Amino acid sequence: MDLRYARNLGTLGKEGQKKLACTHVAIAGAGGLGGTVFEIMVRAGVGKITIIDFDVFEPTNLNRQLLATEKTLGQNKAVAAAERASEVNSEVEVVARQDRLTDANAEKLLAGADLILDCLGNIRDRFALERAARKLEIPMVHAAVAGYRGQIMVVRPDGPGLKAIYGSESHAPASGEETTFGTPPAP
Amino acid sequence: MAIAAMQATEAIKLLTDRGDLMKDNISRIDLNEVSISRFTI
Repeated sequence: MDLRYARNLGTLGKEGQKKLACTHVAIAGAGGLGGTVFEIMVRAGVGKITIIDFDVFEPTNLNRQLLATEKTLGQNKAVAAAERASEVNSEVEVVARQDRLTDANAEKLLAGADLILDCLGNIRDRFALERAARKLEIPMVHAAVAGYRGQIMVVRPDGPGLKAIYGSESHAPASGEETTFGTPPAP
Repeated sequence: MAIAAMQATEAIKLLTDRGDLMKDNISRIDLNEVSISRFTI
């Protein structure tokens, strides 16, 4: 096995490492949360990653978004992620999708994934992601960051899901506190 | 970073069939107090 994974084996074992190499993860969002999760997945040795983000890097991202560098300013976040992966672990197949995830395109973007990672920044998009995950019967790991606080939950296709956190979608605000508290604008 | 590491760890555990600690739970992390709370749904 590749020496790059030698220090994984004590935790994952050979079988676990082999399994990881055969998996396909879809990451929705390549910002503060998604960029770091992407980096960990690439280094860990996930076989294939679909990374989805329509946005481009701006100077305000530089304080916390791993994939934001002075070089990537103005570049699409998903494309920057793919380039980063080619530098860190070229064995990983990365599909960069420069799309905003919606109900209309979510199933197509996520098809074939074994696991979906919710690294989005607003609640409506999170519900759209969850709907598609349920239809495709793919488990999802939700996470959100707000300043010094954060939350994580596994959403099974038949589980209670985001409603348990945010209430019904019709009553959920468009943006969660992660967009106002987690990345506050200058006073 | 801490939240991303926890999300990635959970993902790797699921992908390698090592179960998921957070099944039917919400884990909330507050680094103001360095606390992790788990809520069963």
